[in-house]
This record gives sequence, C-alpha cells and structure tokens, in this order.
Amino acid sequence: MVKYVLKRLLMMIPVVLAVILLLYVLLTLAPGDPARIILGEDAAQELVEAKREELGLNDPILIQYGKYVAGIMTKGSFGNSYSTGKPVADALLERFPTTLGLAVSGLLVMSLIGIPIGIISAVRQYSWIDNISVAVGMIGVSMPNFWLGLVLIMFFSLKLGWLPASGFYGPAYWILPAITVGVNSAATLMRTTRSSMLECVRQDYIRTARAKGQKESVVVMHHALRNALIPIITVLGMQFGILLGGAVVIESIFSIPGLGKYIVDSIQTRDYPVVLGGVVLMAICFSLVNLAVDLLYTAVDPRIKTQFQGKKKRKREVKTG
Amino acid sequence: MENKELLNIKDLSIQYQTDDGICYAVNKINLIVKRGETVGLVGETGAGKTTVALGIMGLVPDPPGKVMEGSITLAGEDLLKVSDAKMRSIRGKKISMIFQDPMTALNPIDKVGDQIQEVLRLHNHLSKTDAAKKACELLELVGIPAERYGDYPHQFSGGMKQRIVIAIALACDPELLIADEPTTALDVTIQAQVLDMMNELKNKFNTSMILITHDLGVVAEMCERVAIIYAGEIVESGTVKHIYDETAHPYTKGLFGSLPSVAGDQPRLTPIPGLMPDPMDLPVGCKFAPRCSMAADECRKEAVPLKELGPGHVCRCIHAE
Amino acid sequence: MRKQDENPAKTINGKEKRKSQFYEIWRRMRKNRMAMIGLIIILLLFLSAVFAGFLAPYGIDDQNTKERFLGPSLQHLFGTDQYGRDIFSRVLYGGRISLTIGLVSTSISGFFGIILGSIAGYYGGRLDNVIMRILDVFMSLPTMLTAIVVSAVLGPGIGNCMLALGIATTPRFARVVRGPILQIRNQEYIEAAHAIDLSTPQIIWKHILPNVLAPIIVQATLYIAGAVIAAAGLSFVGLGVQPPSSEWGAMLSAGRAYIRDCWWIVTFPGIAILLTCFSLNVLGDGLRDALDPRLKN
Repeated sequence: MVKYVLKRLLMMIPVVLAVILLLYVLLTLAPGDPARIILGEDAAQELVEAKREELGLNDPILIQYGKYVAGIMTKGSFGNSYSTGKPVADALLERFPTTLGLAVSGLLVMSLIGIPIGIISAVRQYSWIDNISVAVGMIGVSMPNFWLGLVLIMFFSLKLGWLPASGFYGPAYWILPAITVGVNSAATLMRTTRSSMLECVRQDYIRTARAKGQKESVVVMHHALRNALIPIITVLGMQFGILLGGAVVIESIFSIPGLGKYIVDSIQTRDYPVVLGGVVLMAICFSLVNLAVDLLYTAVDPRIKTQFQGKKKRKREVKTG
Repeated sequence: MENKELLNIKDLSIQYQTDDGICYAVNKINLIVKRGETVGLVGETGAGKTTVALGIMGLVPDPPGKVMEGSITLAGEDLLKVSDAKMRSIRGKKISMIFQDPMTALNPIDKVGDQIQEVLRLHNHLSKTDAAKKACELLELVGIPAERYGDYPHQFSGGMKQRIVIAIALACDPELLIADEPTTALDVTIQAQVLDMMNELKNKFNTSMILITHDLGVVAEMCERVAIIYAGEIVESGTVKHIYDETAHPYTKGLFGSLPSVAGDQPRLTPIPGLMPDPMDLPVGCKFAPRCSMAADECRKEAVPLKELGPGHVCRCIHAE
Repeated sequence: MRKQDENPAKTINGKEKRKSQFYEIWRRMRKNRMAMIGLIIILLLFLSAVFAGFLAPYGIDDQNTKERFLGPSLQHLFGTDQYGRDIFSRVLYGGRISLTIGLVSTSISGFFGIILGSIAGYYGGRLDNVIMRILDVFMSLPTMLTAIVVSAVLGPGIGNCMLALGIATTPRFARVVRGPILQIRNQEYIEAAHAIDLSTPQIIWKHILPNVLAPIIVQATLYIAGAVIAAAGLSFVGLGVQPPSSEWGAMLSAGRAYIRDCWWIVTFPGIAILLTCFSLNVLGDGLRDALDPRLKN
C-alpha cells in the first residue's frame, strides 16, 4: 500500500514538470519584456540589456526552464517578483494558507448542504422536496458565483449590515466568501449525490436487503449510501480544483489577501514570476488532492482494495463453483 | 402427519400504473403451498411470476405497482393487511426469497459473513459474536469454508455467490422459501450442484418452497406440485404427474412440445407461434386464444374459469378433458 | 413492461428508422417540462440577441449625463448606469457577445476535442497513451486557471477570450469523446464492419460517430453554458472582454464600484447570465435523458 502511494507520487513528478514547462513557455510568450517591467519603461537601453543578461533571459528557453526547476528543487526558490524584487516563494507561502482555507471552507459548505439534500431528494423522489431541490440545484449550477458574491454583499453587508464585505480577519469574514465559493459545487454535489443514490437504490442488493426484512432507514444509510459515496468522492475531488480556480475570482470580490487575488493582481502588473509560481503551486495542490481522492477510493471500495493485498491473499481466491 | 396448508393465495391481482397505461401483471391468481412442499411456478419471461413472488414478500415497488385485490394468508394471517413493521419481521424470518442474478444480489462493499450476520441479528436478536459464529456455520452448510467470512462478494464465483444468498435466505429457518429462477444465471454443471444443495437443505429443515422457473427439467427434479402461469393467470396446476403425464392446457402442451428431445429424431423444434400478449392490452376471453391451435369463437368471448379435471388438477381451458 | 414494436417497417428502410428515431427523441424531450422551458428560454434569449437592434429602446453606447444612476422604471426597464446608458439595451446587445463567445469557444474545443478524442479512442494503444498523457498535463490545472493563464498571455479582447476558453476546455471534451469510442471500438459490430471490408474513415463516419453524437451534443450544450459563465468571469478579473463593451461580465466588473447605492447595475446582467446558463443546462440534461432513456426509470 505504501509502495503504491510512493509510486503514484513518483508518477506525479513528470506531470508536474510538464505543467511547469507548459506554463513557463506560455508566459514567455506573454507581452512585455521582463527587464523593462522591472526597470520601468523609460530605462536606458544598456541598463535593460544588462538586466536581461542578469536574469538569464538571453539563454535558450529550455536552459531557462531547467534553471527554474533546479531553483525550485534545490533552494525552493520561485524566483523574485518583478515588482518587489523579493522572493516569490515567501509571498506565495504567506498567502497560500488563506486560499487553502477558503477552498476547504467551500468544501465544507458544499458537503454539508449538498450531500444531505441529495440523499433526501433521492429517497423522496418526485415529492415536493425533490422537485424543489432539483430546480434549485439547477439554478445553483448555473449561477455565476462572483455575481452571487456581489448580491450577497449588497444584501447582507450593505443593506442589512450583518456580515462584513471585505477583509479576512475572523470567522465572520469567512461566511459570505465560503458560501459564494461553495454554491456551484454544492449544487453539483447535490445532483451527483441524488443521481448516485437513485442508481444505488435500484440495485439488486437493495432488494436483497429489503427481503431480509431490514428497516428502510438502514437500507438507505448502510446499504445504498455507502455504495453511492464512491462516485461522490470523485466529484469532491474535482470540485476542489474548481474551488481553487474559483477562489481566484472570489478573492478579488471580497478583498481577501489570498493566492488568487495575488495572481490576478500580478497579471495586471505583468509580474510573471508570481503568476507562474502561484499557478504551479495550485497545480501541485490539485494533483495532490486528486491523488488523495484515489487513495480514498481504495479505503472505501473493497473491490479496489483487494488489488493491493498482494499474492498471499490472492491464493485464497479459489473460484470453484 | 397431515400436510397442513402454509400459504394460501386467493384471487391476487397486481397492477403497475405507469404513464403509458396500466399493466395487468397478475390477474386473480390462486395458489396453495402446503408445509414441506415444493411448488413450481412455471412460465415465460413477463408472465408475472416474479410479481407474484414480490407480492408475497410485500416488495412490489409502490409506485408504480399496486396490489388491487386478493389475500395472501400465511398460517392464518393475511399478509396484505398486516402493518409494515409486522411484514418486516416476517420477511427474512418466516418467508425468504432468493433472486435470479447472484452476481448483483450481494452488497459489494460488505463482507459476505457480515451480510449473513445482518439477518441473524435482525430477527434472532443475536449478539455480534453469536451471530458471527452462526454465520460461519451457515457458510459451511452451503459448502463454503468458514475462513472466507471476511471476503467480499467479488472474490467469489457466481455459483458460490448464489450459495451465500441461499445461506442468507435460510439463516433464520424460514417456513417458506421463494426461489426466483435461482439457477438460470449459472452454468449447467453448477446448476446441478446448487439444486442438490437446495434439496438437501429443504429436506433437512422441512422448508416449503415456491420454485419459480421456466425450466421444466428443474421442475421435474425438485417439485411436488406445479402451477403454469400465463399472462398473469394460472392456466393449469396440479401434481408433477398431472402436468407431465396428463398435460391438459394447450399452452402447457406447447411448452413441452418446444423442448428439444435427446431421445428420437426431431427435424425442427416446434415453438409456440406468436408472443405473449401485452400486459397493458390483454385480450378479452382466453388470454392464450390468439396463439392457440384449438381456439374457437367461444374462447374469445369471455374469461375462462378454472375447470377441475381431477383431484388437485385444474385447467383453464374449455377444451380440456 | 415493454410495449411491442408498433412499426415493423422501421427496421426495413434505414432512412425511415432514423426519421422515427428523431421523432422518438423529440417525443421524450417534450415530456420533460423543465427541458422544454429551457429550450423556450434559450430560444427567446437567442432571438433577443439577434434582434437586439429592433428590441433595444436605446443604443448600446447612448450616454446621457442627465439620466445617470436611475433605478428601474418604465423608460429604463433595468435602470441606467454611471454614464446614463440604458442597461436593458446593453444587456440585450451583451447577449450577442456572450452567446457568440459560448458558441465559438465550444466549437473550437469541440473541433479539436473530437479529433483528438477520436484518434485516441479509435486507434488506442500507444497513440492513445501519448495523447492521454498530454491531456493529463492540461487537466492537472483547473479549467478556469488554464483559461486565466492563456488569457493573460494572449491579452484581453473577444477573439482571445474565445481562443483561451476553447483551448482550456479541449482536453475535457476530448476525454468525453474518447470514452464511448473506446467502448464501441471493441464491440462486435465493428468487427463485422471490418469483416465486410469497410475502410477506416467509413467505419468512423457511419458506425462510430452516430453513437458518439449523443454524448457530444449533450456535452456541447453544457459547455456553452460553462463558457458563458467563464467568459463573464474572465471579463470580471480584467481579462476577456473589457468595458465599455456590454459583455455581461464586463458590466458586472464596471458596476462593482456602485453596488452600495445602485443595486440594479450589477443585478440584471447577472440574472441574464444565470438565465442563459440555466436554460442551457436544463436543455442539456433533457437531451441527455431523451437520448438515452435507459438512464431514467
């Protein structure tokens, strides 16, 4: 099992390296000369040339990329910001936990709302609860969450004054952003839970459970839900990536000093090392979450678990009639 | 010892009410099962056999299914009138059911031993350890080594899965076992093994059985009495001798005639021409008339009642002797 | 309970079979009330975008400093913005931009996605592996992030926005196409087609694509909805389409400063986005159910 985890982590490395290469090349194509960005548009040509030499911008792209990656792996350095001149890594690490916190709180909102409503909806199919949930779910999935953020601010902060509109200084500041970030995902999760439960409830083993005389609540929770969780976990993983991506926009609305806002601001100021470092960090985070989801599968689904139990136990699978 | 009546089904009718129309699945069925007896219920796919079984178990999905009329009396009690809680206490304990497809009948993420244990703890109120012990005994009883208690369904072959299903069904020593095509999904060689085992257990515990099948060979081996079901009605019923040697109904004759015979030459199989009528659009009069070579005008005019041809042998045909 | 085949002639003439298949699909769609509502809404939105010139009471850029910051009224259904422009008219014209972005970017990702996905799915083996590895690299980034990065590189503007979104969603579209193709490729009727010596393009065109068409249509519908929201999101953060364009996201971005006193500037463009996506999503779901009724009860 540990071997499998290590193997997967190892397999992640070439993918991450490829992503870094892709992003590096992309950003090199972006408009703007880094030397001019740092020194200012009016700087003298010789200074600009010297700066370019200093930054290694005259080397072939692959060499530049190689140095960049080497910098990450040996010194944990993502280069220096064009605007502040300070190490990007420090700035990233300062802001990353905030974004992570936002994504996780979105995950919580999404699970606490999405899963129970999905279950109830499935168990009471065609009832008024179900019909409303399905309609609301559709609206939730179609809603631009940054617009919802603005609406929530207008209503709860500006009109009612109950909750703060910006900043990130305490628990009250988390509520509106968490809801905003989580709304699309909550709706998606609700729909997935509902359809997964509906599918499970139709399975033969549910009929077997009922034929045993089992109570309906146990049939739903123990038999149906535990099987329905498997696709639900996949969606959780995918949604985390979407939450990370969405955080970028949401942080701007609520003036939350997180990684997303930092990336967006840096795009405006053409501070490419920051953009590159920030996106790379998010990519690594996303890949790790996907890996975690895969591992979670093996814990939940014994059909996958037995694949990793080794030859000793395999011998016992004597398949005679 | 006098054979006492265990189950008495009187005038049972079950419909499925769908958007496209009403499906008359079961139409005034009468069936009696005595203690220790095995009754075969024979018919084509779609004849209503499974619906009858689900009706007895109280598992007809509602919506869209509805029991319209009739009574199902088990040792004096009408199952159609008991409370849900009472029915749940009967399911799995007094009446058990085995379904057709063993591959999907077991919960994939529960250990097989735990699935047997579930029934024991539910009805016999055994403690966890006692139930586990009994479950191991039951596994051995159906020919599966007790060490495999902790294995998962996907680690067993189809035949073994069916044995586990049988173990679950017999765990609480039911008075009546309903087996819905228990061996249809299995290889012929495994079929024989499983049927033998069922016979052994049946005799050991003096369990009554309703064996639903379309296979006349299996019926001959396992049953004392047989009922032939067509378009939701019993068209002929009697002892095995009555049905096999004194075949009366044209449909039953057709069933025998369409079997390939190992003895003697047959240039072609003689299937029964046509298809079973659409249960949403049943003909007035004899339901078999459209396909029957002996059909006369009077057959199509009104519904044909059951005619008694001898002690315990009835037939729904005006031409039968 | 199966209704017996009403029309045996269906199977005799191939053409007739296809025609009645469409009718069957349409009949199933019609039963789904939500999907029908979605269809009507998106048609109305589409028509209002096309005929914005006739429907809009004011021009897209008609500034009127005397009528700034007016709330919704009969003269200005959605109110006016900071320049005195009529928001209702701007929303109508904005529909053209948003729907265009949605359609074009989905076409781009559909085009490349189908090619890549078909090659990967049909030829399998090494080629499939290579293509999937490359797509995996793209998919280790959330879609929005990819769109932002590509947009940052290309710069703002409607063309770049469509390109960025198209590129960002191509990998997932390819995956959607690849799945069914992989499945079908191994089925026996393809072997049979080979056995009667049909050429590869013929096989793909006649046998494989019709079966993949259903998921492609469903995905495309849902992707258009996603593209509309994503485009609005890009505009909102300063990429994508910028003010003074009346793209809905750009309107939201520009109106942000005034939410304290003028709720209407931000609310109505947002509702437009919501309505568009809602109708497309509901339609897409309805299509999915109608095209594969096995998935329903």
